[in-house]
Amino acid sequence: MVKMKKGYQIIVLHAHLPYVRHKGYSPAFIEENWLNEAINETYIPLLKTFRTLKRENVPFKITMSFTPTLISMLKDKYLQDKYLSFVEKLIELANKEVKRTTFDPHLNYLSNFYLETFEENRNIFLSLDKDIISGFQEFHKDGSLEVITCAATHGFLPLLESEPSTIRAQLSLGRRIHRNTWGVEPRGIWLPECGYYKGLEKFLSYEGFRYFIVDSHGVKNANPRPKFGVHAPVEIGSGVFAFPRDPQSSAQVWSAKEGYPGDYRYREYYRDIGFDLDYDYVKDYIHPDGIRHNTGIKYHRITGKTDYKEYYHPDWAIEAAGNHAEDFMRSRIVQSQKFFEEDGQPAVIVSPYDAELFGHWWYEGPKFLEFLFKKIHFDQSEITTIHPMQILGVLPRIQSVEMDMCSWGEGGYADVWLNPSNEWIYPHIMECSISMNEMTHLHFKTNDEVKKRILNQMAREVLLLQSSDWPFIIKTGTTVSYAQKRIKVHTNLFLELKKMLETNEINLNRLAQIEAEHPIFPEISYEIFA
Amino acid sequence: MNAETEIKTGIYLEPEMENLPTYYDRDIVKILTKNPKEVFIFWGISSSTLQKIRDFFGGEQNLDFKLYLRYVDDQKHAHFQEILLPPFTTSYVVKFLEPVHNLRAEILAYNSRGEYSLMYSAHINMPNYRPSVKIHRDWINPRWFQEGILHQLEGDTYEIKNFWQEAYGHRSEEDLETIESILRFDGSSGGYFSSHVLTSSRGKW
Repeated sequence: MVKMKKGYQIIVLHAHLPYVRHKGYSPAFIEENWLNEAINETYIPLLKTFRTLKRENVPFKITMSFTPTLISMLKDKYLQDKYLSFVEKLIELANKEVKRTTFDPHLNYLSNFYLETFEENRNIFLSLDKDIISGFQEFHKDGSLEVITCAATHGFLPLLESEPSTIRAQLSLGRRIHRNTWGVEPRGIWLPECGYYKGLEKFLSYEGFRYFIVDSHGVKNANPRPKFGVHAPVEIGSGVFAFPRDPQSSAQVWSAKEGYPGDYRYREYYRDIGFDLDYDYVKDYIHPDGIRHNTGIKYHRITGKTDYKEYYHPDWAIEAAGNHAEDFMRSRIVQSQKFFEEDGQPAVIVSPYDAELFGHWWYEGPKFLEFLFKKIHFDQSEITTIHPMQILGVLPRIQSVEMDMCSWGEGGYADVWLNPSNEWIYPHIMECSISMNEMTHLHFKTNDEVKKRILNQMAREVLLLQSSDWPFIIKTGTTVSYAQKRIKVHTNLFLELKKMLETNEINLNRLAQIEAEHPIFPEISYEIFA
Repeated sequence: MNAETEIKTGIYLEPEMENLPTYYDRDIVKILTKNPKEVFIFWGISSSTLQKIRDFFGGEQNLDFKLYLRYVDDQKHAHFQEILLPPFTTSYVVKFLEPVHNLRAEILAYNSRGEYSLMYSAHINMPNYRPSVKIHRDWINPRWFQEGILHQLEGDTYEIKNFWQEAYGHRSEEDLETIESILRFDGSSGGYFSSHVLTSSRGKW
């Protein structure tokens, strides 16, 4: 008989990027690089971590959500080729750096380090026939990786609540994309921005979802008060379970002040040769318009809080990752022992993070995970890693409660996605969402193939319009003009297509052009909006 | 879909993509919850409804509008709030001191001769933002007994003692008797105004 552990650690990585495919533009959209950087610095490094663990016979359990927009891009031939060009260009730059840095042995060592890393990434990518998802399939099949889905275009569901057809469409398409990609139905879903509202569980249950992750206060404030607080899942109705985020383990990684990624030994994200070196030297590796951006070659470590930065030492950073993995594990053990002693059952510790934090922002993050899984396996016996649904077989019973709206955004509700900077988008989203439902009913089960194409493209446009990324970008003030443009383009294209249907003046060339502009979800059927 | 390789994209560069429609010919009023104390309300009025109102008011072209809110508080007391809308207003942010329930927004047109109800929203409940005081008998943490904080209600339910005093003790009596709404209007000016005060019956707290 297996001895019950004092704590069960659920690590969840949410892998998501908005749909940023813009074929045929010169100069290319700089936003396409978001995907290239994430493949190069997060998805391939995570794959390497999983492969290392498997090769060394270290059992591990990790849960990852791959959003439908991300899957759509990772499966897209045009974007796959773009990544290949991207990494080959990086290899060219790293080679150039190896020659340039002969004057400084440490810089030369670092440029060789990058050259080897990029070449390895390219080789892995090519060995997978450019399909990163297929690399993760192996771990999904052997049970190490539990993959969950997300709402189709990462729409923030609490703000779409008043349009049930939209909620159904976001969830239903999320489920279908998952099934088509992974070959099985998803058991769990990552609610975009952990956004829940009371009543959503009925829609989740209808689509067959059994669980989701929620921020701590969602469960803390549930009614009746949950006996085990944030250290046990709760049933919120319709047989759907909410797994609350553990605040302590979140802060150890997320916190800007005390979080591990701020250690002075780790690589400095904001010092990149794309900004540091002469324009003429790097111009072929930055945006053709001359806009400087990160190349991925960074020679400095965080060092301290000032602008003064010293050289990056990968061996020091690896040592830090090991120390932090040890600290993280010990903290979970202490937490679990205390909880077990006081509450008489094992603690369930849910630690969800954005996947892109690991590798892209926190360069050593994938190494931290590797060390953490090894230490949990080899160095102790109090806690273990587990997948969410497996916990139902461990705990004696689960409390049923009612939960209210919540999210993991700043403030804990919808303020990030609805505030004076971005509230102007909602009348457009609602108009298109309501119209989509009306047009679906008007043309339900039509046999007219052209009308079907128009309706399917309308569905793509309205779903893309609903993405939570646009109001988020506008609020945070990063690439605001791009997000505003996306709102305008999706709204206008939706209305243009709707007009074609209403007037029966169908321009096939224009329809094909719109389809080529946003060819997301080839398998979509507009009838999900019924 | 067609073979996209033969099709020229470039829609993002079209001048028509620089603007958004300024008017949708639809009757709509929606309440979106921002947080436990704040909602964003927006609305639109169709041309046919506008014509109906004008007919109702004998062909008068100049119309005034108001937003009428009704809701209940935690103690199940009903409240009503009427907000006269500046011209061209299409949205409002309404702030409450505490989450309210069954909040419904109604848009009305009015003049000296009377008023005309145009439409109203669905009811919404604002989320709770505190741990619940209610505890089910089967799910009592022994710690809560040791701490002596439980008080048995009827049936299977317990309540945490002195919750209301703990939660609201720092507020003055005057605070508890009023709900202050900070209102913001969009439209022509997009400016702010504030301190609309509404009497409430929360005195018993």
